[in-house]
Amino acid sequence: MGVALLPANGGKAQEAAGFFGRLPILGACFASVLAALIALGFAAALIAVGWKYVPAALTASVPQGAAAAIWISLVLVVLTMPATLAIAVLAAACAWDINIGGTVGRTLRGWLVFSTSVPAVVVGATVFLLCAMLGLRVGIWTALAAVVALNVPRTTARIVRMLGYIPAQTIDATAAAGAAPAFAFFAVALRTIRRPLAALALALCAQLLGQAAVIVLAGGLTGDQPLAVQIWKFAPDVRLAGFQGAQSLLLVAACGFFVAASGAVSSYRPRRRISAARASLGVGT
Amino acid sequence: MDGMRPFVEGLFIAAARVCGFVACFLPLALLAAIVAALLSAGWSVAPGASVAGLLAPLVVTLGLAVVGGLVGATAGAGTALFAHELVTGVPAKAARIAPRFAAAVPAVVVGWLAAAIVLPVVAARSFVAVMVVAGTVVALCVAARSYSLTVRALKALPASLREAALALGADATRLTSQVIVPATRRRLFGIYIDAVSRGLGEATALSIVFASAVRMGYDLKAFSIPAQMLTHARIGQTFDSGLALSALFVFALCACTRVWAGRLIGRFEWA
Repeated sequence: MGVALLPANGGKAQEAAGFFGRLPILGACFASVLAALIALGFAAALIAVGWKYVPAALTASVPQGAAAAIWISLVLVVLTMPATLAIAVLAAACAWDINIGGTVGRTLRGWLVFSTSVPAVVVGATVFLLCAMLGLRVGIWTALAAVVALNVPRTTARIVRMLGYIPAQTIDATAAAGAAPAFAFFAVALRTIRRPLAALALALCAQLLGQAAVIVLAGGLTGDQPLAVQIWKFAPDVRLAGFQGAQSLLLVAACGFFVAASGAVSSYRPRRRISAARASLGVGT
Repeated sequence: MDGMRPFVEGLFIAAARVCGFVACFLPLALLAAIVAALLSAGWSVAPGASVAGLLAPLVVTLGLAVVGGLVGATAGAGTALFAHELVTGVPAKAARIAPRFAAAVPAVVVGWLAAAIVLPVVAARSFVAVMVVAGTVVALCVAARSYSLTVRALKALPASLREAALALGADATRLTSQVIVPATRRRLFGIYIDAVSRGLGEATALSIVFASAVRMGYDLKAFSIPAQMLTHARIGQTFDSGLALSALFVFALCACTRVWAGRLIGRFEWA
């Protein structure tokens, strides 16, 4: 591949080629430093503006109160995350095994990239338009339905990708042992990806906490709102910058908790089994 | 080995097919609903409910998505190359913190920060100033995803590729510039297209930036289409064909770019 192009000696043309060849490296270094600086500036600004207003934001009454909004956000996550994950796992099973999915599974594998392309704002607007045509009022239930509709294809695609990492030998061995498709899926496939699946569930919680556009359009702006929607609603009012900063800080902390937990779960390696294996081999004792 | 009764097995398969059908055809159902709304509302109910009325917002949407997407993807992919290929140890771990932090920041917070901290300190109250801030917001929103896609692309490269280059005496810089980047060129291009696709659909952060800019007295000629759709909810939702037409535009743009990106990135690695 590119190794054959490595210049052996100097020469102006080769030096020029080397310089242009190294441009991506300079870009990468610059991008990395810039990203770190922006992240630092971002975190510093968030803390500087919002930190001292956190107690006030937590104890304030509606509509600026963060405690009620956090509670509603958590209710939203509790209601939508299991539903999304359950539908996505079943849909992924459909795409994973031809014996489970049949024609639908084959179609799903081809269509998932299109299914995941719908932006949140389009899903929200469509649910609103649908409700208007059917004469229904938008509210919490239409918002929940829109959130599930938005996240099911994306979560399905991620689970299908995870299932694709299961070694072919494992699948062949399961089939050779005569396992039924459902048994193979639950006892072998899901068992194999249980840790990435748990990480995905936690990442999904963070994603759901941060969603605003779909809820605003499909649920309207009346009544109590989740934290992300509350921030969006009052964001253009610069007089509330302190409160907004505190609410943003709380939202980032909540999302950060779930993202960190997701990272910890996906990178976790059970030490006990390794220790047991080492002990059985007489290593390190 | 077979631990399930045929009835439960059949029930599971039926449920899986129904869920698969839902996941597969949900976008088509949404598309059908948009078209139905467009037909039932007529073509000229609200101002801006025509293709010509959407021209200026379309130009703004495309401009922001392309510029923000390219900058964001460069930042994400560059950070991934730096942290996973060029340096090791503590610098690599430090470089990985920024994209992880960015992944935990919702778009609504990015938008609020740009509107509350950056916009008030911009001296020139012009359309261009708002567009620069909006482009930066789009870049911040797409950078974390570009980072994770690039990391996945780098991990997918065969170890033999690196081993061969190292055996020929290439250092980390040369390995990255002459082996890793050319080997992932197709996927990197796909990652850029994916970032543009994400930028096209970005609404939350941009609607905050545009709404704040209007309140601060900036001279704004047009919003981006998704931001316009979301602002529709702020000023009181009404059933009009402008919203349906906007949804159709955004859907079409995002679907085209996303499918293109998906094909370039490869089987389910785009997920």
